[in-house]
Amino acid sequence: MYTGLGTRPETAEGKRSRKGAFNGTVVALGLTSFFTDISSEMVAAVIPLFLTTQVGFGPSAFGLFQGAWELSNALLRLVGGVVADRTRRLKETAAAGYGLSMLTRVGLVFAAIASFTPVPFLLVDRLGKGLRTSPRDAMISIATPERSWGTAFGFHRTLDAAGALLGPLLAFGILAALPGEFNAIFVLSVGFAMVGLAMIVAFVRNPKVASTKTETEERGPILRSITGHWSNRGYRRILLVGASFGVFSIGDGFIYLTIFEASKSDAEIGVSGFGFQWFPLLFAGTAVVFLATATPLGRLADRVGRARVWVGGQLMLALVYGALLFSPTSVAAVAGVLALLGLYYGATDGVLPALAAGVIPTPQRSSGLGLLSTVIALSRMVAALAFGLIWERVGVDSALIVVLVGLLAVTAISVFTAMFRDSAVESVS
Amino acid sequence: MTDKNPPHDEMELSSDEEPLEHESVDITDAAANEPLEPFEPNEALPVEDVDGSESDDDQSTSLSYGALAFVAFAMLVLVAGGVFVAGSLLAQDQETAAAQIEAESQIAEYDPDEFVSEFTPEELLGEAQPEAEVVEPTPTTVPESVALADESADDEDEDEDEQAEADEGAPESTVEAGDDLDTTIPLIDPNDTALVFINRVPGDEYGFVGYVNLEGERFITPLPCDRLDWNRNGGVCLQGGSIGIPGRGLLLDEFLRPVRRFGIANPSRAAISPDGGTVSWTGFVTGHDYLAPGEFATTTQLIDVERELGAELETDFQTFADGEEFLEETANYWGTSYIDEQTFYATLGFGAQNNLVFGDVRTGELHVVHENASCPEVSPNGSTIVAKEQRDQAFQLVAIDTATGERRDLAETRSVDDQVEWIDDSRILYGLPNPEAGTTGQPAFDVWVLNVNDGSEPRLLVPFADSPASA
Repeated sequence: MYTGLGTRPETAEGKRSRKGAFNGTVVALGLTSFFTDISSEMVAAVIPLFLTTQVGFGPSAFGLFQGAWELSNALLRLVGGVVADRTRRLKETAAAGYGLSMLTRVGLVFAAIASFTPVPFLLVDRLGKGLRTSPRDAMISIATPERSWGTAFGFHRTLDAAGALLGPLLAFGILAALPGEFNAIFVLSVGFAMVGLAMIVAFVRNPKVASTKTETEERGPILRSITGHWSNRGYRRILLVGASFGVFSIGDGFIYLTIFEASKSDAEIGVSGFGFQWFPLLFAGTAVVFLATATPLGRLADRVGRARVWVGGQLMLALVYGALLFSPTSVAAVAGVLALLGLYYGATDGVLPALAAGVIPTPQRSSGLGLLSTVIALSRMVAALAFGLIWERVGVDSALIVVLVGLLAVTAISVFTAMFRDSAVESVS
Repeated sequence: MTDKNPPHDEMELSSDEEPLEHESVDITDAAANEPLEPFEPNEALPVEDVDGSESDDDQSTSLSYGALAFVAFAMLVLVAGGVFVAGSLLAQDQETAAAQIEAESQIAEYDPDEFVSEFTPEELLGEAQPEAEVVEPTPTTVPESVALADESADDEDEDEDEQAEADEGAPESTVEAGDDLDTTIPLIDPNDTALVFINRVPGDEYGFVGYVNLEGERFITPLPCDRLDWNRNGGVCLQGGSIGIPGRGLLLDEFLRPVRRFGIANPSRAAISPDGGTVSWTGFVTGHDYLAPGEFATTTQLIDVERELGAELETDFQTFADGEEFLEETANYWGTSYIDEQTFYATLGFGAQNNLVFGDVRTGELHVVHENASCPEVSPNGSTIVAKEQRDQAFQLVAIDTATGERRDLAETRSVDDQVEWIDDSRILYGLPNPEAGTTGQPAFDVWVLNVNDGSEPRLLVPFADSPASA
């Protein structure tokens, strides 16, 4: 049930009933993400190559850069959410994030021409991404009737993932046709970032945020914008559940690495063996399944319950861990693992904000979603760190067993204690 | 709660089919009617409008002109980006075309007789070389993973062996070299091939395997390779991948027909043993420059052609330096050169230090034999290794006497980042970049020949070619 702050302004039906999950705001935000992701992923795909061949980075410097990149992104999600809620300007905050990223592409073009270091631009780009994520998700939830949130988020993630898939394809296509011409990629990415920014600026309207509180109450101490969520029982549950699942989510990198290691130790060199050559395609395989299933699974979540679909997604991840224990090396086995991983993302990535949005009142939604994704991102970093350590000290199988058992335990606990529920579950049952 | 209706009805209507159309409807609505806010606040609740509420319609109309202008501008920027890419492609095409004309005119100037006068056919076809040892010691304990070569019986009749390899070593089911490759038509005549190389004439045939016949004439085959080794018993070709097209290695017969394929990382080095029973490849896993110590990682595999068994130098062999086992996990191995079917030299890189190791597949051991050298290539008689020695940021070719370890600089003063190829026991071939020609995407290389014994200067042998391999 809805707890605490009983503001439910978005529950109105009546003359808005023609509005579904695919309303103007969601489509426009989806297109924004689509174009922005083409832009950012085409850059991200070639950045390791660019940094190591043109700028002269070593692996340790690159690792440090990667860490800073992810940490800043995680923290900025919270900042973006708080800023959006306090200013009540969700669209402007999100657009500022998209705009910031767009400007960094222009910076990259100059960095490539004048050959100075592109690193500050890359970090600022992640700041922009962090800034925009929470208000954007909040806007999707506000623009859509609650019963369609799963579908709306799923649809958004489909477009998002499509952009993330097209970007690298485009980048490598250009690099294949124009060897060494990183600037061609950067210039084109400015164009895509511009179009993405134009989509949100032109076609998304700032949602009205109704509040029971007066403006002065709203603008309490900044810390209050974050800690205030703790008094919300329903939100507390989701935060706890998100974090507990998060510490057993090791991330794609390790999953691919495990597959890679398995194939390397396989002495067979026949055509059936899963070889090095497929490694770059692992990511694409997961992305295709993710983008194909995000919308239908979001819709399923709207019908049978978001928590159920979310838990189902976690079980997919458990299956992935289980499968990795058997060192899949054949193409079919690896494809199966990738499909499961894609399903996991399809069933969780868009479903979680749909799940969380239901317990966060509209005026606090950006910061609430922001806090949640920051906590989850941090817990995943802990997971990656711990997994890496166990792998190194004890072995990959032990590490896999630890996360598998942990994930199953968390799943069991949350199912049996009904630690979290969402309205959709209750409305169906 | 009002939203407890089962979620179907118009959800069904506005299903995934045409989200875009749906959007356009909504947007026109927004301009014409009322604001498109998704929810209708309950009357009991105070309503706040960020935009200042009243003038909402006006604002949205005036905003939409600006917004549309912005969209148009953004599209323009994207189109400009596209034009930039197209322009770069065009510029590159023109540059390539010019470089191609230049290269072809230089090749036309090159006199085939110069090539012919360099070698006798016997030298080129390798008939003067001694046969490999006939009797091989029977291996006593062979680690499964490194049980590569146990084919002593095969050495006795080379020709028959070749036939057997081409036919039965490649049964229908596993031979499949790739849909895009013709596995039936011979690309070269081994008896009329002085050497094979990779074509470096800018243009469409850049990167394809070429050969020079005994008359010194140059031809190009339809087989693309990034790295190549070949002898009269077979060959190996490494093809780098790109997005959607994974890299692969191809085992070739002596006619350059692909007979089998295997998975590889970014191609770096390729080698085939004298009787063609084993091939070796090195790939970059990360980084792609030996000049940046510690910033690259390589993987080197030996592959038993007949038995389809692979062994990795880094993990399947034991390495010894000064009699002690060398256990550094960050070490890299690359650049194999076969002495015979069981023994070979390779490079062991650790930090900034590159050493040569001697390997034996029967024992599964690698021993450091010479320090401060990389990319060895051993002469057919086994007496001399030519390798690279790092001097500042360049490589100096040196000759190392395998018996005494004595080392001397060769008469090549330019930096050679290649594994050389021996023609006989005194002459080597190697590729050198030619910065004067070629393009950024298709840099030019030439094949040079050098006599390591008589102190003579290197001579240009095959212009616009790389990765030379002779019988």
